[in-house]
Amino acid sequence: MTTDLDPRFRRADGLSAPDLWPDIQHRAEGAARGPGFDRRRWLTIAVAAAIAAGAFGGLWLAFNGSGHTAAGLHANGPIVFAKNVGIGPDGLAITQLWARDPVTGRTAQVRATMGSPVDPLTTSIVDPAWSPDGSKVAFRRVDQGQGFRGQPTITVVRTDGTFDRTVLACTFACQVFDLTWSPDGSHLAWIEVSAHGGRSAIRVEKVDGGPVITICQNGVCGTDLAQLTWAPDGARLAFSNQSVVLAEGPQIQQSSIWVVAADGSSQQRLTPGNMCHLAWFCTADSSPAWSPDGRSIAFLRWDLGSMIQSETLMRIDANGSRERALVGCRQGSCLGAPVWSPDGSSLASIILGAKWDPKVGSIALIDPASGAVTHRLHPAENGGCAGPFSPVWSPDGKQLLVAAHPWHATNLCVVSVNGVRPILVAHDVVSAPSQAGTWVPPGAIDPATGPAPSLAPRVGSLVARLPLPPGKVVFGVRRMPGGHPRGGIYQVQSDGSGFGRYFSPCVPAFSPGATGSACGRGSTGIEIVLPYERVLHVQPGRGYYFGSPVWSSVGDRIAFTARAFSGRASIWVTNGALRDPVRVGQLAQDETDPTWSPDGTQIAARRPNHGRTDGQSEIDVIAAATGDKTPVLQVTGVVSDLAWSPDGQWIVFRWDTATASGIWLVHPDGTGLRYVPTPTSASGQMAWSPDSQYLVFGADDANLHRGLYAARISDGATALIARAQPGVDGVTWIPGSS
Amino acid sequence: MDGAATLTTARDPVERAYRAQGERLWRALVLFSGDREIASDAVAEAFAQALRRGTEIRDVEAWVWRTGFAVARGELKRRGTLSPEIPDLPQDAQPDMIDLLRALGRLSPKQRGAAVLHHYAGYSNRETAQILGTTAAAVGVHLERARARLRELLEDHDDD
Repeated sequence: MTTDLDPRFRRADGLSAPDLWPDIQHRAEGAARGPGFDRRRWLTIAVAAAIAAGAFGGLWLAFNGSGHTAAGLHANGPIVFAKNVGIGPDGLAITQLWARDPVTGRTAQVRATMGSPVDPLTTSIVDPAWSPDGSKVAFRRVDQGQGFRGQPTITVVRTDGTFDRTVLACTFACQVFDLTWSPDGSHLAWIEVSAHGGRSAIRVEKVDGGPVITICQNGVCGTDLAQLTWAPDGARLAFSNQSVVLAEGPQIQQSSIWVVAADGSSQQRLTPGNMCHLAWFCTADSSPAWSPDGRSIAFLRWDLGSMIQSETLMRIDANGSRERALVGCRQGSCLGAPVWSPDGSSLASIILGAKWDPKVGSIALIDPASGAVTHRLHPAENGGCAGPFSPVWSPDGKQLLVAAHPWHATNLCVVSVNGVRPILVAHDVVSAPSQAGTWVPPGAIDPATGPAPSLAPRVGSLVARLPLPPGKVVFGVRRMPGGHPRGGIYQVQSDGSGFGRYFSPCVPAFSPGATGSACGRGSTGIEIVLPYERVLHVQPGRGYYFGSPVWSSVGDRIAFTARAFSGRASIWVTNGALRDPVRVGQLAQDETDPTWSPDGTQIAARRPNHGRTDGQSEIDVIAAATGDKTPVLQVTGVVSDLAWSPDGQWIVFRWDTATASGIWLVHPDGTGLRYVPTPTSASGQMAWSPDSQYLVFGADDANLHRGLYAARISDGATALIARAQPGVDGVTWIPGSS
Repeated sequence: MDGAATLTTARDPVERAYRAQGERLWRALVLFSGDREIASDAVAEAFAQALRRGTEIRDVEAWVWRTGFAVARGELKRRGTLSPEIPDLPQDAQPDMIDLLRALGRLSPKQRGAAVLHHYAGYSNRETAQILGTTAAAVGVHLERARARLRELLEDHDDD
């Protein structure tokens, strides 16, 4: 028997190689630091890591204990951050907790060594704050847009995936900001802003429960408290009162730096925060940052009184003495909030470039003694890291973790102080005001397993689910970027991993029961996605633009519109196998937007007058089998949004004329035309109740407050059933419910 | 900051070389060492040193292949794992792959290196000699013996 060796060797191409580039950069960086680099040590780590997967933290400690770490500083552990990975069943973002392995550079969903992954449906995390030991993360739950009307909660989860507790932020309507952990992880502090009068106060609570301490209430420390930050000893808090955010006009008030005891026993205003009414000789102080030894505070001073507004990085002793300027710039808001390096030898501050272009931002490292700029770092060397903000120092003081906003989403990047090219850690992370992620101690979290990061749509609403092979969930998302509907079908594994686009990028029409979907694909036809990833393409001919697919009530056929390039449209219907479509009616009739009768024998369609409210529109009913047409209604104006009631008795439609618009009902035989009373504007999608007794729609009242209304068909009575947010749309009934 | 400046200058050609050759070199080193961790370390170390040396290196690709194999060879020697059995088979290896790795593990390091560089990486005897630090004639001898031994071992297995 002859053995052909080459094909055997080529099978090695099936081995999946790891991405070693981050590791290579780390090694090169370590070598560049000096002669201490020892390849053998790296080798030992790599081999040991294979033997003891999951225990990289200890290995990292061992490595750093060998002389790489600057004296007095700590080794770098994993970087942790929250990341949007998709859209949940409630239409809100799915946010997961992620970590980056400091040795391999691999990022993965957080999994504790002994625990399960954090609930992937932990939706819409806002302002995540990690405990210093990395064992917990606190965040605000999104308040569903209720603004001040809601009662926000702070949720604390453990990074082993288990729920810890919910902190009721306030007993009245308020908003919560600046959630922050004490340095020893024993307390949480935050700023509450009351819905009544906008008064703000600081709240401090023990993490394991206990009474809440309220500090600076009733305006004792000024209004608009912000930028809350703990002193390194955990006994004090610094903050600013940020009234001065307007550079022009008479509303300018004081803005100063304050220090309070964490038990609320004393409050001290450190900087004067000159009051000014005419914008002369007044300053605004903000962004306090404690030095690591707790003896001084760096902050930004915005001079509003000079002809050219300027900004200065300042420093003051924590007892209020020895205020001095470090470095300034004369372009207005050109400096970012200062952050002390762990050893106190340097201050990092973002500098915005010419014309305040955030994409040109660089990071200045500043000597806190002399104010000299010692380094300028340029995150934009990596395009995904342009527009940096909220830097966080690594424990060893060699790197900075920065949020970046190069496009529409927030990225997370690592910038090294020695000039190594910035590393993009993750896309689309959730950032808090002071950080988009942080370092936690070695061994606190094991990111050794988990899915790879993926991009995901950031806004949208779930329109249906499409069950597919076990373990995979597919669903449609309608997005409204800039008010324009876009969407698509997305897939995600049942554990929340593997999010990505599934087939075509269109707003899909789902079959009854959502077991299939159909999308208009322009001139290429109608794309139909069926269970178990079967895909059909229907294209009855060339020279048309195909769209508006709708499923029959039992899901056996699809009707759709084919608009000739000449402009006229006609209705086509597939057969029971969703193939071989035939045209019903004539092209010259220019019919569009089909809707099926419940029994699947007829199709209602409209003949538009192309937006002219002074022209004639027509509603027709077409026999699906023969194409015979019966005119139902001819009116002056524009009709749209036809929907057949489930019992087949009514067709509802929107009717707009030059002077009025509203929702109307008509029987399929053209009789019984009647108006459905609505508030000022009923612009939302309409939905029949399953028993055909109610019609639900979104509308604005006279005060432009959005609401969800139900009209009873039997007597025409209309009632508000729920308040909603502006733009609420896509109303649908839960099958089998009332 | 001299080190940092060197890194910045060297980054692009080295990164290009990594994107072009990194995976192929890694797979060749898995075949050579039978151990993905040794392969990963050798690849990372070779490219990291290339990054640090910057413009000192004229042909990055040739340099990282030579260095990668040298690092892996040194580690195998340090471990003393020149036994017939490969110590750590890749988890995603197919049965055919495992057979090949086992057979390669029964070759001498020089035979194994010659076979991998020739049959997997496609290098000529002269290029293989440059990577392994020997002569083309010696590579020819090692290659002939490796082929004979591999055919024998793999046929044995096929007959099982």
